Amino acid sequence: MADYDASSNRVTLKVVYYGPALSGKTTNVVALHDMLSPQSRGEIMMFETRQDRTLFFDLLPVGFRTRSGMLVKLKLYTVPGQVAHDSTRKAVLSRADGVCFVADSAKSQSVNNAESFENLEANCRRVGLDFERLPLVIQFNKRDLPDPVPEKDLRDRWSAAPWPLHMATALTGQGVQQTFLDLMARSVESVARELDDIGAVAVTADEIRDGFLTLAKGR
Amino acid sequence: METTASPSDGTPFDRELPLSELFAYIDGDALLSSLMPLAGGRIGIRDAHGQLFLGCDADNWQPLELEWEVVGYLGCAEADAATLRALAGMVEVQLRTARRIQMVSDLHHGAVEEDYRRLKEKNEQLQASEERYRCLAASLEQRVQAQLKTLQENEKRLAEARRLASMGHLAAGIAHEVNNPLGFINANLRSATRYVEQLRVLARGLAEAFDLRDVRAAWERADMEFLLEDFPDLLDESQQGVVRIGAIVSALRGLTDASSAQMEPLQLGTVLGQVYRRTEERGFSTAMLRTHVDRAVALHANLELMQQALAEVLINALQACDGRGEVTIETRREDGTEEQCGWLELAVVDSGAGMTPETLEHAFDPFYTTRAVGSGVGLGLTVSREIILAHGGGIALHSDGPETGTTARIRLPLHGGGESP
Repeated sequence: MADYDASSNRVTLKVVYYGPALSGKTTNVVALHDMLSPQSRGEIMMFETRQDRTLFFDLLPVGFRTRSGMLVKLKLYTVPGQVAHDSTRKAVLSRADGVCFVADSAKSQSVNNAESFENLEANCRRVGLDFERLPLVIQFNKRDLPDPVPEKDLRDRWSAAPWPLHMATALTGQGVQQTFLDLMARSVESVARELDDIGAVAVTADEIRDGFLTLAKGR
Repeated sequence: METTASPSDGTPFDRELPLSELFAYIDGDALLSSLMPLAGGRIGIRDAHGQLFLGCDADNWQPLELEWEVVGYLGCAEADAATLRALAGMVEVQLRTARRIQMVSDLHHGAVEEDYRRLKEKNEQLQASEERYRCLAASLEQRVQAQLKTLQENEKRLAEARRLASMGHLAAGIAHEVNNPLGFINANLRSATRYVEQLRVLARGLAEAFDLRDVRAAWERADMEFLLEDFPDLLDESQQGVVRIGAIVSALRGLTDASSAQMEPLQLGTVLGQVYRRTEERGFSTAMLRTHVDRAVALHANLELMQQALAEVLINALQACDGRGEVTIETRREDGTEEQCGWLELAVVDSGAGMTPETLEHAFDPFYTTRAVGSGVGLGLTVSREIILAHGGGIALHSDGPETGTTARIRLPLHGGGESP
């Protein structure tokens, strides 16, 4: 649910990086942070324990102004992956415009991936998000592991699903940008439709998408 | 420090906050007084709309920016532009920290409340289910006992029905088998009686036709005089025996019918009228009878059998009195409930001979009688009891001993659960 504030001429989008514990959600966001120009990125907000486990969320604010002067703000969140933090995950997921599901490519993590994906679906229902229509991309992270689940197996397994698969190694930044741009393209599409429904915004999906594209290629 | 609205109120933890709300997480006065020496004068803060809400007003203002947006202004009359910009940067750091604290505390507060709410819900569910189990456990024992009782009663009734059926079957067999020979014995005895008379005529004829002395000698040798004298008595006695056997067989018929009799709704008055008639027919006067009877009570019974059963009990009482004392019939009704049928209790009380414990014990045994041989076959009370049992009722005898009288208590289920007819 994009948040449009006419008085401040601002539209705010929210995307959430979801997935099992230690799958590399924060690493994705940090990598994105490093790719963006300092003008377009806000201060990254991280709450981690000493073992690098996300406690509440990570937040990377991203923003730019369109030619018409509207501020397009993106709040890029990660959820805590640990099972115990479900209520926090729910609150962070609430009102999301798009979700990137970050799965772990390790063979041992299949069950955790599946459980977390089910949890995503259940929490979408609980916070009133239509899972069928939610812009969603799936990223299999940690492709640099010595023996990851082969890409072909993954693609076979997910061939019936409507969501795009991305292979990534967030630690080196590989695949992070593509995942992000794909997610933004899908989210912006649905956000533009929503804004069009409100009939209040002089901004097109292309304009916003181009904005992000420029940002992501800024460095 | 004030707390702002939390996500549990439905407001998201990451909503945009105006400057005034962010300052709920900052000690504004302390901030201003620590900045004042750096600014070299008094400081004021305005919100995004230019409204002063902290410190003193001034002429020159430096915008406070947070994530590409101006959220307020910092003003100081004395500070130069560069100093003011530096001071604004310090306030912005404070604002970001406040934002951070606000988001985390709202999120955490909401999550904790959500967890608490879920736990409470689960706890309530557990309590409800515990309560259900407690009730179940409490009633379980009772229900098992009730079921067990029903089962036992059914079992008893079934066994009783089986016993009655097999007894009826046996009685029917005996009645049938005995009746046939009885028929021809009876017929033969009658013929034999006639034959004796014919022999007597023949003897008389012979005596007239031949030498009387030879005939007389042969006659006496054969002891014909005694034979002709005794033969009719023998036959007569045999015929009485046949009548008694016939009576037994007809009594046994009561048993035959009891297990498969057709039942109908009957008023007690109707049944008792038949009972008195039958009793008179059997040669017993009902003159000494006193009754306190609810004649309108409705029974579900077979008229023929029920009157036979009650008549046997009444005759038994009258015989016990042997013309002296009195016999009383009393009834009492117990109305039924929705679960249980009502009952009629009918007591036949006599002031007669009474019974010894031994007699009481055997009173219902077939062929048991305390009366002189030939005056009864000892099946009356046996048949009564079988008939009453076949009607779902019961009978019990009570006596305090010889010469104290006897009370027979009969219980019969009321028709239609016991509501008034």
